[in-house]
Amino acid sequence: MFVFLARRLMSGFVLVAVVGSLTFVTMSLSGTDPVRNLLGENATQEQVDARAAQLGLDRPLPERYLDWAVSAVQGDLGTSWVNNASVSQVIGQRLPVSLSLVIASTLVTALVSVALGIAAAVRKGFLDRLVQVLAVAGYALPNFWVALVLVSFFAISLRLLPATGYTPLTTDPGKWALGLVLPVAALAIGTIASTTQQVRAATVDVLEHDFVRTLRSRGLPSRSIVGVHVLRNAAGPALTVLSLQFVALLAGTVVIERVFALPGVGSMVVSSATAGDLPMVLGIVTVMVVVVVVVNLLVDVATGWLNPKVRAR
Amino acid sequence: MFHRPGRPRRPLLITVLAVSALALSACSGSSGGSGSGGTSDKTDLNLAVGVPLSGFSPQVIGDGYALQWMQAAYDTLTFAEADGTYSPMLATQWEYDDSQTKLTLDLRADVKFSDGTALDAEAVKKSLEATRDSAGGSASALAAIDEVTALDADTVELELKAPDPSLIRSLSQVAGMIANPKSVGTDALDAAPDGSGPYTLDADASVAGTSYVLQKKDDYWNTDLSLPFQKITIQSMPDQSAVLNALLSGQVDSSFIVSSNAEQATAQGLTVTQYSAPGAVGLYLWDRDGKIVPELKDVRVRQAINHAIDREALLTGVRAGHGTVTEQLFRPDWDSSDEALNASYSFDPAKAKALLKEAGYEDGFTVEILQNAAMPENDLVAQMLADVGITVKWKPTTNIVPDIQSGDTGLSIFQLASQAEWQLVTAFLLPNSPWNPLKSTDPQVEQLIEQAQQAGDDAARSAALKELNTYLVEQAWFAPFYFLTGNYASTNGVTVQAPYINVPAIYDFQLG
Repeated sequence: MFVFLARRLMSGFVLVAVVGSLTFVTMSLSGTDPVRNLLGENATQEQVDARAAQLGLDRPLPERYLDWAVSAVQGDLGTSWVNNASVSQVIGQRLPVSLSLVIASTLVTALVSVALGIAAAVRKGFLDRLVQVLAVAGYALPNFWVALVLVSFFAISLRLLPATGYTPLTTDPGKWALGLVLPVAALAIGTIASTTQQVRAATVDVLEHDFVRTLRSRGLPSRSIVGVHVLRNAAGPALTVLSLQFVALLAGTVVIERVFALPGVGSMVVSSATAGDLPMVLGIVTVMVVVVVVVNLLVDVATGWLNPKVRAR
Repeated sequence: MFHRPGRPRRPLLITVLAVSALALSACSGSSGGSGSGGTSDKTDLNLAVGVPLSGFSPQVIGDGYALQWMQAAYDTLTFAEADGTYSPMLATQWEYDDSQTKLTLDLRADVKFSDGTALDAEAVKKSLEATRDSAGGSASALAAIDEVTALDADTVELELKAPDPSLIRSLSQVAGMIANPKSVGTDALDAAPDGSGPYTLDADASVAGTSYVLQKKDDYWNTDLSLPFQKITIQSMPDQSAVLNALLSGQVDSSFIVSSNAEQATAQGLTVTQYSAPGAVGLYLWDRDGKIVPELKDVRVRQAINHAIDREALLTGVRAGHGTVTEQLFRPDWDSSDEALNASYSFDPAKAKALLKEAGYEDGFTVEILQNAAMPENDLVAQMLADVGITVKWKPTTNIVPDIQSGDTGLSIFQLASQAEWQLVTAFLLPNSPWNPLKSTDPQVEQLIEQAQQAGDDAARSAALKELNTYLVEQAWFAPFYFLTGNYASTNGVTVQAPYINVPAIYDFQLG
């Protein structure tokens, strides 16, 4: 288990380093003059040059990269070029918003799709067909459209839930939860659809195994066969899919945070990229990759716990 | 077996639903109350803006929506009234000398910053000089200032390099905002304001880059201003559907909305105030000297382009009719604008072809235009030009502004805002103007500008500018299409005055 974990950690580090470097290089070589972009159309060339020197942009690229990487490893992600805010601080303020959204969506996805997927696989017949049709439909609907429909019904017509905005968990847990209902529903509908299909397929697959028939012949109640043995065997593939969905959800926050005006990192990365705020984009991308690596690591550990065969590899 | 235990759970489920429905109706009840009920108890104002919240430094901020949070935190030297006149604010009175190059301002003696520092002549000098020398969006508005002198504690003298007819106006905007001299030039203003304005930033309640929460000061000096709100929240909402949803659900009291949402907003009970957006959409013909596109040197080619455009068709086709067609860049509400000029270039492809033939381009020509992805006019304009023999070759770009300003394009489909006549002159028409990228000159244009600049009074200046406007239309320096209609929506009993420019001042929001 230790070797397994160590290997996964190593590949995680490599991934973070590669993505960080790629972001740095592509943004630095994008061909636009970042300082001109920052200062706007009325700045003179002297002002542009002075600001470039102040930001250290007159130094060679490898040197700037090394500087950034060394501070980043020590937890200092630099300061924004646009408003001088500390990147780590901004991410610290905004990451909880995006993580609330993504973790809640993942949990909802896991619960709903396991329930629907197993029910469809076990009950078969009409329920199965209904779940499959709904899954295809749910997968095909764009999440921003779902978001707009949900808002116009639940927030504007019924005024049951807030249309936009975020309340921190520490300020008011009730408002925090209410504010997350619509964004989570909009974000999770696609992942629920595809995960349900996966869980259903995995369950159908396991149900056909010989050991299930043996268990049945021994008179075990159907509930315990499905609830314990089938679920445990189907959980491996489902977990893998879920960890991939986590990444998809993280990417989905970019759109959903805009539609619901949530102050998360997803909306921030878009506005920072448009403004040419290199340190902010780099910081957010790096932190997002770290989150993905950590989640994958946890999923690997969970899979290993569920299935000893994985650990041996 | 598997499904049977489900049955006894049903009552519990119903209880849960009932409880949550109660909880939800309780909170919807309260929000409905504040939404439609008495406006008298409303003490907070929630605004949404489409731009990022870019801090509080007058040395950084230019015109635009930032004006709203800047006005909450700072006072300006002069005060822009809705009718286009200027009243005292920090300056109690001001006077030009005969040469119009020396402006003397008398300051109020009783205004202090939050830390007790006096807002005196030295503070004004420091702020104005810092803004002028900055790389920020308001620097150009003060570019004419040569020297600021503090004559005594409450008198400053601005010495100008040349007369600047828009200076009094500039001093009523961000350019005329005075920050605490202790903070000017430091990074502190990026995070929080340090001004003498009616509100202070509640940093704990604000979220960096997302919302500013501003609390009213108890002892604000200017009691003449009607400021009904104890708390103002300004949120950045880049997505227009989020803005509309927030307005419809009552979370936001007032905001700019896009024209395509205006009908729905009105139908669903929002108050929509319309105004004319400040800059004309059009084909800006930069290359009147024919440096890149030799054909444009001939005035008949520029006139042919004007005749080739079906402005009404464009307006209905791509802007759903939300605007007013124009053939001049000067706004209809300026004295120098002339309605008669809008009959100069009727849509007439035959005449356009004839003009091109006269100019020696009977077979037409090909022209390269930077493809400004933000403009929905592109394809239709290319079609209209093709119909008279001008073939458009699109050149993709991701940085339209620097690409135009570096002077490597002869013409662009664009929209540029000018807040005032003199600003239009300095931004577009002078050889060193930022929006005269190919440095076109014309002795007649220069002479009329000079005449307007040296004019002794407003009437004489207007006359000169009107002549200038007429000349520019005749010479077809531009091919403007239309001024778009802007829409400002409000709800919850908040009223907003139609903004003269595209942004209502923070003082323009009132109750009932």
